[in-house]
Amino acid sequence: MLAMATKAIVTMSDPLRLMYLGLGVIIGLGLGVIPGLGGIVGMAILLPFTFTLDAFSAFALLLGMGSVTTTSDTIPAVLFGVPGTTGSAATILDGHPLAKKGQAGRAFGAAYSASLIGGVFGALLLAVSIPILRPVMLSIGSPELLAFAVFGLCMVAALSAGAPLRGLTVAGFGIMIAMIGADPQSGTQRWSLGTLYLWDGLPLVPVTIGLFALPELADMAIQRRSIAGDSKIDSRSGQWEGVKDTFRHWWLVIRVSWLGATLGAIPGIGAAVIDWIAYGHAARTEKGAAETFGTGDIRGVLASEGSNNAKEGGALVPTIAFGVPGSASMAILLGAFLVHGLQPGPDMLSKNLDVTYSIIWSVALANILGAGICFGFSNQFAKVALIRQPIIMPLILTVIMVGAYQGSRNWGDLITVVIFGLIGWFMKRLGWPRPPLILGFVLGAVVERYYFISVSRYDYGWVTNPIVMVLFAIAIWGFVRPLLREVKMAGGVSGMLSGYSRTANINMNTLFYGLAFVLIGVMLTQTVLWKFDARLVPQAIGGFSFVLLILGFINHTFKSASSGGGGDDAKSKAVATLKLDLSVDTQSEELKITIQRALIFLGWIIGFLVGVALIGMLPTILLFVAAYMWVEGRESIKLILSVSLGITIFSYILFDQTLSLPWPRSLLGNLYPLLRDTIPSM
Amino acid sequence: MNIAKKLSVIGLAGLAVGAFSATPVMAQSVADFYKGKTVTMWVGYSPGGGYDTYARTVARYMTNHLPGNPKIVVKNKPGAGSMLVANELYNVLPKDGTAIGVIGRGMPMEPLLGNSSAKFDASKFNWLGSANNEVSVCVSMKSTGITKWQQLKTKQMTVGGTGPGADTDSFPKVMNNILGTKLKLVTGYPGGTDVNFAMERGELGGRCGYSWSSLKSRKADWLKNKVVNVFMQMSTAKHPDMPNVPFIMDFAPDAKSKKVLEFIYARQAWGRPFLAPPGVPADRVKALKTAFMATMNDPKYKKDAIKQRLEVAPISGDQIGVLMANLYAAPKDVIEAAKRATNSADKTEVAKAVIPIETVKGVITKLRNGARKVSYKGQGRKGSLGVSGRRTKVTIGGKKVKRKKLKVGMKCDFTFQGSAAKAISCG
Repeated sequence: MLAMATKAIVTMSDPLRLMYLGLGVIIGLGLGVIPGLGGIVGMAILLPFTFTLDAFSAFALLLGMGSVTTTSDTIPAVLFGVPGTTGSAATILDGHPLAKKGQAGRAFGAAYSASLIGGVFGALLLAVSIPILRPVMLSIGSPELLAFAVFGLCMVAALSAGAPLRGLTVAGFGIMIAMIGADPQSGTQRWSLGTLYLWDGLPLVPVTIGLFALPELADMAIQRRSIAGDSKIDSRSGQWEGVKDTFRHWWLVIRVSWLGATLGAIPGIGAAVIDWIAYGHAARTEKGAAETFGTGDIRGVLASEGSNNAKEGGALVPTIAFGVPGSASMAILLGAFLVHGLQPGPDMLSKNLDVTYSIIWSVALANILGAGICFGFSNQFAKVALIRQPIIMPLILTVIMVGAYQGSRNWGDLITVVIFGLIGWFMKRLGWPRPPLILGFVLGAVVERYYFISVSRYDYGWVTNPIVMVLFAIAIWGFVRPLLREVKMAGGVSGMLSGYSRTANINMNTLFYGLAFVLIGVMLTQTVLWKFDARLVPQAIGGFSFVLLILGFINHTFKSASSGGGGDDAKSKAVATLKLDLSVDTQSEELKITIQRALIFLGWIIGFLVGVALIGMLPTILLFVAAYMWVEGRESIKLILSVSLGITIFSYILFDQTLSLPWPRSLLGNLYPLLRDTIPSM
Repeated sequence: MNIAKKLSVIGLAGLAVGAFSATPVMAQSVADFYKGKTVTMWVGYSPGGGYDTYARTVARYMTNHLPGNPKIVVKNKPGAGSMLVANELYNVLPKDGTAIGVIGRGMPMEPLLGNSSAKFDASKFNWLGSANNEVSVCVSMKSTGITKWQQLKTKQMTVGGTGPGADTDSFPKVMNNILGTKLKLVTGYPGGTDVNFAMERGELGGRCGYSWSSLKSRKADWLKNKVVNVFMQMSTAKHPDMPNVPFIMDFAPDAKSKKVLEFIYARQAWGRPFLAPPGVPADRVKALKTAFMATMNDPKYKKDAIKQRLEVAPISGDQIGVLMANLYAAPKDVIEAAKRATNSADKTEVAKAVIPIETVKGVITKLRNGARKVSYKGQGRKGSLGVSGRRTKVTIGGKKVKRKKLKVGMKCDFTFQGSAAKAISCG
């Protein structure tokens, strides 16, 4: 085995192969920075170019690209609060506040070094587990997959930021929206509102971008400041500080790498939740995390970034050993195996072991190279945080709108991103934790799927499988412990039941509760006519959420905030509890100005959509950027022209020429098809 | 002049140009039209899947065979199992020959099966051809001991499915409903590879509805090491690779069932269907069809496809057109029966006619257990039948006799239902 590993490293050190690896890394870093693009798009485009290469070079190119999208996705996450890939949403929580404090450099330094360690560790885990890979994977059946998903779901408690009732309600809602589309048992169309867009369910990309990126941008627009405000930018020194942070918390980085690599190997868990599970793990186990997580604690960045790079090595396990893609991009990688005459399965662990080792080396080398390049250039990136808001804002907005449109290349994506942007902004402002929604959304469907498969195949005998029992036990413990702590902090059960007053507390949150009641209520009534298999989980979860909503509402309305116990509002304001996602920095502004500016921001976004509908996306980008810069910042004409033309040409080359994006059809283009032939995207 | 007016003037000018160019279309050659243009090939699935791989490979070479050599770009627009692209090709996308596409092989049946979301009439599409003629198979893991489909009439086996409407779900139901097997469907797996994985770890006994070309390329080790038995092939014609694997059409219990099977498996013939919208000018359709078939015969395309383990067994657009017209002319009761056979898990009306009574002329090859079991051979078939003292009418030379009178080598007519002999009349 060792001989094979050495042989593989000799093979890989061929300069031409290293060049392919480097090329892959550069493409991967570029794709990681742009929201909505990632490893999947890159694999699909690069695959045909690998046909003429030898297998080693092909994997070097493809995996070089695929391994580092989660290294560079940190950059937009930290700078703008926009996740570069769905795997870096958790980085925002602490990375973005650091940037606001002028410590973007430190966040980058920590993120890259954690990514590097995570990535190499993931590859290492794959390398040492080769002899036991197949037997271990063979012991994971549908019941075990179900148990892993339940285990992930139970992180909701740790991610609810001291507002357990709200956290659980939100997770329930996340599971409900995961049920949208055709049900896997009976084919019933659930909540698809008669549109083909929702047949296969809501796409993840616009939901993530809406929920996390739009609220950050809205608040940036409301505060009318550059990202770093007046703080000074720490560049080189900050990065070095970040590296030291990584070594100071090395044990955390190792733990989340292990978690990321293991969960990456479980098909169906997915990049979008691994960062959250790692973040939740850190929030629960790190000392003092309760006070500082969510306000710019470097450990939050380390947890998220260490885990999402380790995932890639893990995802290779089922791909190589069984031909079961561990992630969406791995499904495309399977195509490369075929082209090079390789059969995923036992052969990869015996006859073709040298290829397997070269794959492992590629992942490890790519991570080192990717982190190195990012270190070299971050100095420049960090300065972006100083650019004036009227210049940077329209650029980010256009990029995330086009990014969201990558979800399924449908008008629905643009509507989804705006709806979830609104939901996310209200949640952020009103103290509702957002991470449980993503957890519920990704894992809810997995739980439902494998629950039915397990029962249909094994009745209920599977509950006693040892792996299932252990995972359920950990899950229950992880779920109950934070709740118990809440109860204790609220002064026990009696403390929770006391402190109610007769005067009702009515505010914006009352309205939000009202809307939630209506939404979940309407969704529940629609389930009545569905077949039993289709409605079992939606009704159970919907009913559960509804009850929680009632409890939360009573708590919110009739509990005086000063009594200190039980009420979610009181909790989210209390400094002593987890702040995670709930920092509401409204103190500086009057509510009136906030609402006014929020409406203006919404107006800009709706204006963008109307523009796309009328004249097409690229012309809209040009006009939108120019208009925003003029109206909001009275920038000079020269600057306006160069920025707006620059981004339009960039979008044209990248999305139209390189990626062949099918643009949404515009009214003008429909009326005058001749225009469509001359102006792209109309 | 306000902007709206200006625009409408531009529009009128545009229309005028359009009207002018409409008349000389006849004169404009296909090459003139395509020269410098971009043809978009719409794929109803995400990048990376089977349909997408075929589309990208075809697109790479088809440009060389189209007059005017337009650029061909592939655009993915996933949604509702490619129904989105089918609807758009029929209703929205340009009908001038710059939009072509590839959709799921089951999609043309959707309007017939009463899916109101399918907004097209598949017999009106311009079919360019299919890159492959797919044969679907049923496999069982070696450990199940199932080697012949007939064993499944008495023995249960679990098979995995990926959701209602998928081949993996419909085909086991067809087997159960028409051939009377006892396949137990466990459905809801995210994809075919997950079903395979569940088979490897012993969660499932097999899979029914597995593209032969995909099995051959992606799980060659399963075939080589005999990890699985292929016990049935399903399509409109046998696959040349598998002359000895039972073919479902041979086992249709009656004429109506055969019609139903033909209706259900018609989609296999156009396994990877490429199409253009209705209403495209006839000369361009002809050019597209010709270019498609020329691509299929292009040695460079073949080499590329083989490298990617894509099967190359094309059929022409005209052939698809004929098949599609037949499909759309199918009688209502056949469509209804097909709907039932692919949907209901339980045996339906069709299933009652499951085991036909057949008569075979042949000789007795073996007698066991006091002639309680009789083996026969004849008319290219052989098998063994259970002979009951009461329910089987045994005659020799027209005279009713006890079964013990049967001897090896006797020439007889064997009438039986399944493996139960109804009558054995020997001469």
